[in-house]
Amino acid sequence: MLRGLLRELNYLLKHKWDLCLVTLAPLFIIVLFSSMFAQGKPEHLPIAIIDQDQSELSQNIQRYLRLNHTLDVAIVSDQNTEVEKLLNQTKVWGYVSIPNGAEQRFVQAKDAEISIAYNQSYFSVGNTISSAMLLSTVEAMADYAGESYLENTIPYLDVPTPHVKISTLYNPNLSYEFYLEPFMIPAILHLLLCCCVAFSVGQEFKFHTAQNWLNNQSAFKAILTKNLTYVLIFSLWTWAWMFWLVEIRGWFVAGQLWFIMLAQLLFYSAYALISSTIVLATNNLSKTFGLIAVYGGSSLSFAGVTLPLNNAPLFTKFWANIIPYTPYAKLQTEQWVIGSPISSSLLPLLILILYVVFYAVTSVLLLKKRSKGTVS
Amino acid sequence: MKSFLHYYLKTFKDIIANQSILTTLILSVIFYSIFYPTAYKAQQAEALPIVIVDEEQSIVTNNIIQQVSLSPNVEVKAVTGNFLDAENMIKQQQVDGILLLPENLSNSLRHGEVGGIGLYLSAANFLKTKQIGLGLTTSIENAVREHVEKFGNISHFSPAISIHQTPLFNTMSGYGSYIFPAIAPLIIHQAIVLGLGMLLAGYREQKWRPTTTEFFAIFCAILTIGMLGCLYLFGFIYWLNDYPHGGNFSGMLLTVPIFIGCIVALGMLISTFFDMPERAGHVIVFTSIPLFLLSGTAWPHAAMPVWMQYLGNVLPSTQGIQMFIQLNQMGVPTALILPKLLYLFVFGIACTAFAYWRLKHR
Repeated sequence: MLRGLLRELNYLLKHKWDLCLVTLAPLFIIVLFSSMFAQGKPEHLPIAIIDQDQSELSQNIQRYLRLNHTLDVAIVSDQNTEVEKLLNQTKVWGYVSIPNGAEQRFVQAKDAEISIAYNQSYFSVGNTISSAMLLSTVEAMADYAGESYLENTIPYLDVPTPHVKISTLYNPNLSYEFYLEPFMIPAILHLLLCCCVAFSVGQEFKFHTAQNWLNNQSAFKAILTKNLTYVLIFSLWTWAWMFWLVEIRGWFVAGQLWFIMLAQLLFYSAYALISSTIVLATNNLSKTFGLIAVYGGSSLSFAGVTLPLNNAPLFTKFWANIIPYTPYAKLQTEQWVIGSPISSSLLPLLILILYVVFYAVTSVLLLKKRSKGTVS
Repeated sequence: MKSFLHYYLKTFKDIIANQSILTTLILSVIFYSIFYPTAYKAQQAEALPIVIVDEEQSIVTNNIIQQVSLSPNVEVKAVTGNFLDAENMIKQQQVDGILLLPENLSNSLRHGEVGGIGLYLSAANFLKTKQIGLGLTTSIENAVREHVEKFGNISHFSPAISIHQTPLFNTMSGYGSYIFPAIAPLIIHQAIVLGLGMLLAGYREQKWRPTTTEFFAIFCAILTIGMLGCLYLFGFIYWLNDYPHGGNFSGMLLTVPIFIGCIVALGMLISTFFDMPERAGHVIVFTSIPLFLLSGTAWPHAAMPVWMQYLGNVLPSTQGIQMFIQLNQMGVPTALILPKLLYLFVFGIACTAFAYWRLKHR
């Protein structure tokens, strides 16, 4: 067993491409995404104000918009065309338009015709600024009218709701660092892991070293040690990143840490074994990478971590149920963010175990078949 | 010219002869154009499960429950009197939110107080949080207002605070309509870089050195494939899925060859560093998500550290993704994207020169 692990490590040390992809590449991914989301949420997003009213009300709206951290008033203009140009250049993401006579209409309790527009081709930016602009404008108008609006707001959307008190659970600041990063890092690392394992298995046959690999050990042990090497390396990277997020950045683990770590081992093992299975079945490395790109690369899109699955078409639901990332993401959310009882996370864990067992058996059988072929 | 044509056609023959390259370079574009729109077909989060804790069980709470269940954004999974039950449901991810209608709600509203309705949202998924929040608060506010108007002892005049909201360019605020146009140029980008990597590294394994004609013939062959792929996505697939499209059609036709040319040059250059065709998949496959995030469409550049903004902007994928959103979805005049176009052009020329030198001499 140890011999197999050492053989693989020795191989990694001697091949610089392979070594880079299990060291520099994961490190780069972790540094990249940790710094990308470190700010937690987007702030100072540039917007414009079209002020054709030039009134006390419009001044008040400007003041409130300037006070909002999420926004940065890049320009105040009375020209539509000027603002439109900036919008087209994506130098501003949206604008608040206060047309002529808005104040007068407002004090007469008519529709002031104030409007906000935002670039929805950039969905999350658009959502963020639209709610921030709405909130500040409503507050400014209410302040102008002399009543302080009862402020309870929908977080992320920030719509004022006088009667309903809204609390968000588990990620109270709605930080992307704690929402998106924990989905992103395992999603990319498992894809990278798949590529590394596939290459490692494939090159044994390409360079006719399979004999040496299988020398004095059973197919089961050969598969186990090879996969385990990579699973351990990538798990260690993942744990280093979790240490950073929890201990240094100060986030928390609401449930059981050991359970998440166990699930990660199974999750990476499942993908490593799937990768071994594919490369042994296709007998072609390039084809394998194509299949891995589809199977492993689709995790974030299909697992329901961004757009929920409950009203998705049947194919999407089906696909979500044939990738190990879906149960892993569910388990991770329950044990890391929500703090559910272990019992509710047992099912996803069981599914991960099933993936591991199924693909371990398949890959061992395929390797046995292949090795017979090589010998004869 | 004759030998150019010969090599041009030979490239196509070689691509078709190698199943892996054919799949990567051509079939994958068709596959992804169907695969990804399916994932986002729903476009919006709907019918998200919530549980209602009704501690009062009065006419008011009944009205609110009825109003809430009419909202398409949420689906009321259960109505219970016990908060603990509801909490357990959210912990097991059976529901994504709890609506608490507290005891004494009717009285409190009658006295003109706020009532203390509580909405607890699981923030494990932001899109869900927002969608439930939107669906519930508007219907609750309506129900409460109606009730207060009918039975309240306090009447007060308040000016109408209405603000018109206009989503631009993706007017239905669809999730798929935003994300697919952003990843479409990246699909082409990755197909070319991967496919070319496999093709050229395969040639170079046989100690191959291209003639100048051969070099440009291969360049043009991949350029043709890439351009057709782009037009297929920007034209047919956007139309088929009813994504915003055709904003500045002539601008798009002008920019596609320059973008693709730049990517082909980049692909040729990258391929010279590979020691074998298999290396392309090994190294390139995992880069798609980082490249997408670095483009600044999902997470704005303004929220990234400065060094990352530079890194993002250097990449031709970023320039291409942003440029094609501007042209196809936003319909901006061509003059405004000229800086991006110029950058891609210069980047492409530099890569071509470097790739040519490396293919000839290294």
